[in-house]
Amino acid sequence: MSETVRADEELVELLEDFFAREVTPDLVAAAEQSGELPSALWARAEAVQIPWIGIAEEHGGVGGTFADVVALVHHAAYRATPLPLLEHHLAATLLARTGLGHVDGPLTVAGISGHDDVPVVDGAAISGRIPAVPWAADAAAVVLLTRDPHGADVVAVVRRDDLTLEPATDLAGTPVPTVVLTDASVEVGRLDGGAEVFLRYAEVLRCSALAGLLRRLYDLTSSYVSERHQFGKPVGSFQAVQIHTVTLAQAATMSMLSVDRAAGAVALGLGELEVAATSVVVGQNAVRAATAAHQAHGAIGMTREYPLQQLTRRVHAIRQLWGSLTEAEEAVGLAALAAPRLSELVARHPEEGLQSA
Amino acid sequence: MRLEATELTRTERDLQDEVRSWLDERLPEGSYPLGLGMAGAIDPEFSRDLGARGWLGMSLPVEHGGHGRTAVDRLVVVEALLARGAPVGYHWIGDRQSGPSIAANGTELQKKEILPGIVSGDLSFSIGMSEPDSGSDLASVRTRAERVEGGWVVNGSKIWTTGAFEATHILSLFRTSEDRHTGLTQFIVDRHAPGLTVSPIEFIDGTRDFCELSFVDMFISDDWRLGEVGSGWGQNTGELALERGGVDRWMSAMPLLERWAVRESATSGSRATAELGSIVARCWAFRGMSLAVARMVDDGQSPVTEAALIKEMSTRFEQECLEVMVRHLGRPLRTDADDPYERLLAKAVQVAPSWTIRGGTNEILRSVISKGLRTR
Ligand SMILES: Cc1cc2nc3c(=O)[nH]c(=O)nc-3n(C[C@H](O)[C@H](O)[C@H](O)COP(=O)(O)OP(=O)(O)OC[C@H]3O[C@@H](n4cnc5c(N)ncnc54)[C@H](O)[C@@H]3O)c2cc1C
Repeated sequence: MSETVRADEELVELLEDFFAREVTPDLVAAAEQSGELPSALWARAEAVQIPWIGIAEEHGGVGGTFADVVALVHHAAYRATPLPLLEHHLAATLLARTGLGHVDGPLTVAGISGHDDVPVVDGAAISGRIPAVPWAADAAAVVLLTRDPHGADVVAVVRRDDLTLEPATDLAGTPVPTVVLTDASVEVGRLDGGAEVFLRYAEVLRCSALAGLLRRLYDLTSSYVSERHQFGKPVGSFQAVQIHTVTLAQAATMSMLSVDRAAGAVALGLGELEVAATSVVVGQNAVRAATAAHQAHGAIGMTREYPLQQLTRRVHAIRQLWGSLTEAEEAVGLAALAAPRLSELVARHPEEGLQSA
Repeated sequence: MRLEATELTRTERDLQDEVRSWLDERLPEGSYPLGLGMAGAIDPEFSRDLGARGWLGMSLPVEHGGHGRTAVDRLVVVEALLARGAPVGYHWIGDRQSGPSIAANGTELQKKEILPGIVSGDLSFSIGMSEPDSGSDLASVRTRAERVEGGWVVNGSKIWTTGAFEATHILSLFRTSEDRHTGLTQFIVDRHAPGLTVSPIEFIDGTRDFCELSFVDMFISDDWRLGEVGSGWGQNTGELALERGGVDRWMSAMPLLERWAVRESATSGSRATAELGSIVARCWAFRGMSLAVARMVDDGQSPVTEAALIKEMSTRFEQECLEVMVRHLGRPLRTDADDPYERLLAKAVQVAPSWTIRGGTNEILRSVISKGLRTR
């Protein structure tokens, strides 16, 4: 068989247990209410080295494959975990790839989004504004992916003490302040291989978070409809309600498989088509799944008492986090227009991405 | 439900190249009527040529002429065929499901007599399940096989039997006792048996592949009973993973999409590009799902729920693809248009409603999926 993309089984078990035990709906609600990082939870995650999965030991991590990181992000999202695990991982990965050295967490990341112009870094200081940087108030440093004046991709590290913040909150209640830099001192490293490869890596992880949310939407909905009775029987026995659970199962299954396949391609250093196609299908599935989950729940799903909203608000918060769904669709469309045969593009092996790259 | 990510191996990719190059030679553009997926034209000569290449009955056992290859190998071949809208009608059913079902449930005699003909492309199978009063509720079929000396006598009728007029055999489900499920038995019926009349029914687009079968005291030897008496229902269910999870459930519109993409590149606006991208991304995702299901089959599993889950959404997707192309054309479709793309699109628009009906309606599939998910 071809390359496997399976995460380590013991690790997956550890992740499942950890997030199930530690991240309750009450904790998620409390974090949102306070607007602060649940630092005790971060410390417990640190204690079992969860934030350092997928970072090589020589860079202060515990090692692991890309599939392990995909699993980490999936299981964290499954419980709506209010921690910057994705951001921290991306930041630590950038530090490792630029040789900037280990910085203690939690870290956050900026400059991934295609929505914003980020300040260019010139010399050892930087000025400008970066909107929507998750958990910046609680992070030890912001790791910024940007360019130098010559247009080269570089990574700049700004310590917490060197930045000021303007508060903002996303739809999921996560603090996403604007970072204001005024002649802030930075350490800068060059990102070898360029930003594109890294952005694909990041995008697979964002999709993995969505896939984790979708799987949870399915699980939550299918158990709810088997318990909720109307007309003397579980509402899940009505075919009209089964349409919603089937939609959810389809959305989750297709999304998880696509993420795994894209991860396999990215692990080969490739995956241009695979990642773009995954962004499209996961993005489309996410909306359909959120709609179906709410419809199957009725009024209870609209309340803050019930955890569904913690998931669906997160879906909306991250579904176009770094770029629009339409842009992703256009990217695949352009690849299709350039391909000699559409059917062969669809059936290509990830390695064939080499020829077209 | 979780599907395991998998891609083609080196040898599978070699097969893919081989099939594509052969098709470039054998089916040059314009030399054959473009088909819509499994409903491709009936062309026994093409089927025999495919058989000669070793690309029919691929997974059938070697001792019966088969090639002992995998479900994934078959997927590779079929995908290349459907991408071209190849004339697959003559061998389609036999290659996809009747062959594997006979290999799994048949007697030595049956395997010896039938399988080599499926492998060579000489035999053509139809499925005789539906009846005038039994559609979704298949277990209610009433066409009856009564035991007589040395065999059975069959009376009743079947309907919607695709391809039966040209077929050599019909794998049929008959009632052998009153027990709802255990009273059903499968038989391999000779299309030309005395007592069987096959009448075409004109389809929405004017074609005549749909048929009605009338059985009047048709005798069939017990040698042609497939599997134990009363085991027809279970065998039937076993065919479903083969029937439902394949690439044929999202590739019906592929020859159209292929041509639309080329036209679009001339006139491309950003909306059309995004729509094309959305379609291609979903093709890529469905293809990954079909491939994962084929690997499960090769692994000895029976992914019936997975297959139903895929078919229910991919057939709706096929219909959505048509709608996008029709809108971009932006005028009434004509079956007598000069442009072959437009003619095929006009045909597709007429037949597309059947994509979510044939092989189990989407409503029934949703029940199958729900039940399958609940018992996990
Ligand atoms: C192109 C095509 C080719 C075909 N080829 C073959 C063939 O080769 N051999 C063969 O045997 N058959 C064939 N069929 C028949 C096919 O299997 C049946 O059409 C199908 O099983 C549905 O049966 P029906 O058409 O009688 O619809 P019905 O069962 O009468 O259904 C009518 C409507 O009611 C819905 N419905 C029925 N029961 C339920 C339920 N329990 N819950 C919810 N909704 C329900 C259906 O989904 C549908 O919307 C073919 C059909 C088509 C369209």
